[in-house]
Amino acid sequence: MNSLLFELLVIIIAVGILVYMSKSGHKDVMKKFGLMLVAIFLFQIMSEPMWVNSNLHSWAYLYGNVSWVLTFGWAIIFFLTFLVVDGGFKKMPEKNKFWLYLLVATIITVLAESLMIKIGIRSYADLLSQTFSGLMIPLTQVPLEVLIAVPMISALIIPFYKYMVKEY
Amino acid sequence: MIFELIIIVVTVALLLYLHSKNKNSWKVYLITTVGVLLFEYYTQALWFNQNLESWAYLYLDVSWIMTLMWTNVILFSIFIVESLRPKFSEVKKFFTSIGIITLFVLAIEWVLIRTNIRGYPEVILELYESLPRLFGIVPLKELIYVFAFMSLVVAFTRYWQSNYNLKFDKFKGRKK
Repeated sequence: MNSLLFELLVIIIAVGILVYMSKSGHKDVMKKFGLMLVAIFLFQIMSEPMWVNSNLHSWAYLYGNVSWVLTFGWAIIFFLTFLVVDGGFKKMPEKNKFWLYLLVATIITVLAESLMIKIGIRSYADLLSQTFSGLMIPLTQVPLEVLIAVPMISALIIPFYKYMVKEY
Repeated sequence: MIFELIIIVVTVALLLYLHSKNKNSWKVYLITTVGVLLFEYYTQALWFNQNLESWAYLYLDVSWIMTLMWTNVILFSIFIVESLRPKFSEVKKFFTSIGIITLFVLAIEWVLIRTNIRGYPEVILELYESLPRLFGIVPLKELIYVFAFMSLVVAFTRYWQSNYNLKFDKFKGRKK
C-alpha cells in the first residue's frame, strides 16, 4: 500500500463514519468530530517529539511531524470504539464502559499501528525507542510498550472528549 | 530532601484544608493524581526528574513527589476558581482553572530548572528554542505544552467527578 492510498483510505473512512453517525440518529456529529480532533491534537502537541510520521504527502501535515490525516485516523479509532461499545452495551454505566473503550481502542490501534509501521509511515524517535524493551506484540512489528501506551493515551483523550461534549 | 519534604507537608496541609471544606476533596485528589500519573508515565521520555532522593521515584525518573506537586497545583487552582467564581459556566471554570494552573506551573518550572531538579533531553531543548520566548523569558512552546497537558488532566478529573457524582463546588464557610 502506498502512502496516497493510505491517506485517501483514512479520509474516506472518516467521512463514512461521520455520514453513518448522522444517518443513524447521533446528534451534533460535526461538533463531536471537532471536539475529538481537539482532544487528539492536544495529545499530539505533547507527544510529537516521541514519534516520527514519515512518507506522507506534504499536504497531509499540519506542521512538523503532526499530520491531520493521522489525527483523522485517531478520530476514526475512537469513534469506532464508541460505536462498538455504546452499541453493544447500551445499559452499562459510563464508568464501566470506560474500561471497554480502552480495550477496544487498544485492539484497533495495535492493528492500525502495525499497518503504519509495515508501510513505513510510523516509526519512533530515539528518545522513545531507547526506553523500549525490544519485545514485540506477537505477529506484529509493534513494540510491546504500545499495549501500555495506548490505554494511557485513551484514558486521557476519551475523558476530555466526553467532558467537552457534555459541557460545551 | 528539603524539596521532597516541603511537597509532602504542603500536600498534607492542602488535603486537610480542602477536606475541612468539602468531604469529596480526597477522592477528587486521588482522581487527579491518577490523571497526572498517566500523563507523566506516558511522557517520561520528554523530561528528566533528577537529584531527588531514591525513595521519591516510582519508576525510572517518574517521581511520586512530582506527581503530588502537580496534583496540588491542579486541585488548588480548581478550588480557587470554584470558590471565587462559583457562578461561572463549567467551560469558563475549566479555562480559568487552566489559566491559573499555567501561571503556577511556569513559576514552579522556573524554580525546578534552577535547582537542577528538572532537565530536558537535547531534542526538547531544541524544540523549546524553535519558537520565541514570551517577554524573552518563557518559551512559547512550554506554554503550549502546559496548556495541552493540563487541559487533558483537568478534563480527566472532571469526567471522573461526574461519573462518581463527586461534587467539588460547595465549600464550608463560603460567603453567600
